[in-house]
Amino acid sequence: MNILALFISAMLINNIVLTKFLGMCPFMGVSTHLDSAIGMGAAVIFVIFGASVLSYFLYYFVLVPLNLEYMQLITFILLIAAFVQFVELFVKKFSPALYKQLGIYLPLITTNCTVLYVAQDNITKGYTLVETMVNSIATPAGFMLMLVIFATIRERLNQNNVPKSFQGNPIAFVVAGIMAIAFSALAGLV
Amino acid sequence: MVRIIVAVVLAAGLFLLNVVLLRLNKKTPVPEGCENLTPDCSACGMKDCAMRGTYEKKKEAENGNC
Amino acid sequence: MSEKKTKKQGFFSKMLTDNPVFGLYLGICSTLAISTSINNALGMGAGVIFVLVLSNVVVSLIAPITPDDIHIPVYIVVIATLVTILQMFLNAYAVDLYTALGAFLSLIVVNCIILGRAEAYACNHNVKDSAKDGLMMGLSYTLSLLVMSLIRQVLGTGVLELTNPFAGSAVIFSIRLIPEQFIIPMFTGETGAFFTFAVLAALIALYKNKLAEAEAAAEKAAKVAAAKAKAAQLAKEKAAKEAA
Repeated sequence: MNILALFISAMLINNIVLTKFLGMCPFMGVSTHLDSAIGMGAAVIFVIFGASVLSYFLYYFVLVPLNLEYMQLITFILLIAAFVQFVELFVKKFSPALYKQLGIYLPLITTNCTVLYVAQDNITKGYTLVETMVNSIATPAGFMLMLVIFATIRERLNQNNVPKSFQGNPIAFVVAGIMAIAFSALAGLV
Repeated sequence: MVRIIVAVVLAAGLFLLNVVLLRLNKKTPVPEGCENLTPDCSACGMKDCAMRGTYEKKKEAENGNC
Repeated sequence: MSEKKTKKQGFFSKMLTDNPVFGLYLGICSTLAISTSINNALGMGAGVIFVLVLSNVVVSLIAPITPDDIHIPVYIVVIATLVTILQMFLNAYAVDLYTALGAFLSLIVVNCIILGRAEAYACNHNVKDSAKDGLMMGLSYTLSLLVMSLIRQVLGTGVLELTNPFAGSAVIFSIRLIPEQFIIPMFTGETGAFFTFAVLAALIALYKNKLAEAEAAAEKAAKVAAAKAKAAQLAKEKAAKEAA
């Protein structure tokens, strides 16, 4: 598959938030401020890229030779959790400035469904290493795009008169639904 | 039989790696100026699992005012 | 939710306000994605109940001997094992359901309801209570999925259909409720999922607001009554003094 096509398809056409509904929790929670949207997005891109590449190696160089494919789920989730711990540790020790920016989002990512989904998706779709790398940058980039767009919309939304029972999360879902219509128009892009 | 042992060893190894990193991470002090970083609670959709326990306890303690 | 309130609320009312999906916003991802047909909803619901009950039981058993600082990886291993068992079972006996649920089956591992219940409830309650809690939470999750998939399937395809996943998807019943020219296909898509969810969540919020208002009104009335009683008491005492 063409690398560029893969990138565009993973980021825009099959956007993980709008078509797979993954990562909804931070999407609803973090996205009221632009700063935190960008911070969270950056942390997610970094973690997903690292975790996916590590899972790729774990699967093709450990699990497949040992005939242990059925251990995929357990090993992947443990690997992701360990990786997140390692990143947090590393950032704490060597880059306090970065920690100040991203530190609070890192623990939120361990149990984020997106990380596990992308790692498994690369395996089920049989991507090569290069394709895995592209997919695991493009998918969280689409997630970050959504967070940023959504944060700006929500800032406007806060100044408007929303019916009481729709305040907070319900109106956010309505906005997400309208965004899904807009993004479905991109389907002809590739 | 060997396959089962290998599987258990692999899982246990990853689990231990996890525990070691977790403990190391807890031990590493938070850099200066970052002690009071907490997720922005005004948006309290802070419902990700890792945070959920603390979030709920805090909410209970503050009687619903997050 | 405080103890007093839960006691006063009925079972059904509690299921609405404490609903894990629409009330607490847990496990949204799978609810939005799986609720395209009641078949998937029931399959996913049963799977989540299985994992949730067993994980709650196991966690409540091992919680006393788990060191506090490593409880998350321990729980994750327990849940991932249970989900793997479920995956293998469905792959062997209900392949259609297995393919329909797809990636969302393995994503049960990171479903907030399960880890959340393990951490918030099962780790400090006994086995029986934990199993009960898991069953209750699983049932209300299934109910939410079912309501949502009913709306989406009926409006989106016009047909209400249930098949048996264990017998090669043999049709159990299939009724056309809406003529073909009046269906709204949008409801089976992503937009329909978001809109249906928004409306249901808003309804729950409306109900919660009503409850809160009623409670506030009752409190106010109680206060007024108490003040009145006090005034009457004072007047009585005053009258008694004067008489003396």
